[in-house]
Amino acid sequence: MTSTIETTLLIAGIGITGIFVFMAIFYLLIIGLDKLLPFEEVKPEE
Amino acid sequence: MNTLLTLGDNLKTFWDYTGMANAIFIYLAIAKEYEPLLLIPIGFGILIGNIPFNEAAGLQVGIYEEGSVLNILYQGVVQGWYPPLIFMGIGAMTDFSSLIANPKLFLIGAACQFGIFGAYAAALLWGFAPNEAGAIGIIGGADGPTAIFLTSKLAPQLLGAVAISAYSYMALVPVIQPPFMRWLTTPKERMIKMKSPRVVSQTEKILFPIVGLLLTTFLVPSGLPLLGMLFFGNLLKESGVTRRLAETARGPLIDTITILLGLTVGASTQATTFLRPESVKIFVIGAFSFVVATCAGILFVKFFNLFLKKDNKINPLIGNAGVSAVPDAARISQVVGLEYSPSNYLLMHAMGPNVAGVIGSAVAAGIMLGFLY
Repeated sequence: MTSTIETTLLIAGIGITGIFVFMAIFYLLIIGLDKLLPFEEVKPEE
Repeated sequence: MNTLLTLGDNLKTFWDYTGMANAIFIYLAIAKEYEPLLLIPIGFGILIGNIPFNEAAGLQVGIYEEGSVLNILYQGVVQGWYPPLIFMGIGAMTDFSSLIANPKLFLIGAACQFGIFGAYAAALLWGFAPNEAGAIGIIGGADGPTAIFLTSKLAPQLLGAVAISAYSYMALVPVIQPPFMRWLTTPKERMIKMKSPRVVSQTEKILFPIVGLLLTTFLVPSGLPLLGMLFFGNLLKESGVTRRLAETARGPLIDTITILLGLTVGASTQATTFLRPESVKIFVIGAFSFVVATCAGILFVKFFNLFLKKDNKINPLIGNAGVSAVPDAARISQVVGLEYSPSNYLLMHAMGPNVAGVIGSAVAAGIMLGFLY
């Protein structure tokens, strides 16, 4: 039983950490993307 | 007389196999409009798959008879290629702008995945084998195709129960979530008005699926079948030059696959394998996972707000939307938000964690697959 709980906690811990790491990197990449390619409004030609 | 007896026997067998579960699904779909696009194919599939016939006659009509039409269609479920095609359609219909405009909402989509791992732990402690617990846990992702994909790999014998549980709870999101949203938030928090999202350029929209694909490839390669197709579908939509392909992916293709998926999952479900104590346990754990996911999302937003500036706070009522279940969960944020502040429109903000939840649950499925397959 103890080993089951340990395995459960291990997989759950790694799993949720993995998702947070994935999302955090995605978050940082989007921030970087915004810095690199900021939105510029196209002004109509006069 | 003999004919009547045979007819009676057949009806009894039919009852034993279906338990008339099909009638319940069809009723819920038509009368209550609970996930009709799936419950009708599943309900009717149960009917088709359980019509008693004499196997010795060699009619080749049963779903488990190799070479039969149903068996061929069922391969999309067994080998797991229906869910990625559905993900391609979802990608082709999803606008990730709200997420790109406010990428911190990504983290809410991650927090809600506590539901998956909470359910996984609960299933293990309730006596399920690790692979079965993984399949049951994914119900907490509130994402039908992901649940079917993972279950077909980890525990195909639970496919019917997991699929039906996942879709039933997704349909019940408007009932399950609001009480917890009210319970865990203060009136002041519910009134938080979020800043309007910034405008997102077309270049960012095009780069988003490419960046997402690369990230998946390097970090969670086992999630590629789902996320790769999701990002591919999204690129079809955002590239602006493949409109016909995007329309096919989000229209006729996703509809066709949904029909085949629902019908064959239903046809593969028999009362003898479905109406068992294990299924009841799966339904209980499924409900638990939805509650954990909802609460985790809301509590995470409250925690996150401690570190955000006053004018940049997030309304915790969008925390529930990280459970996937697009777009129902986001709509609930909007409805509950409007109850407390009639001018507080949360839908566009809630769509961020909602689509992040789709990505999050697919990542979770990839991680589960990596550990348990």
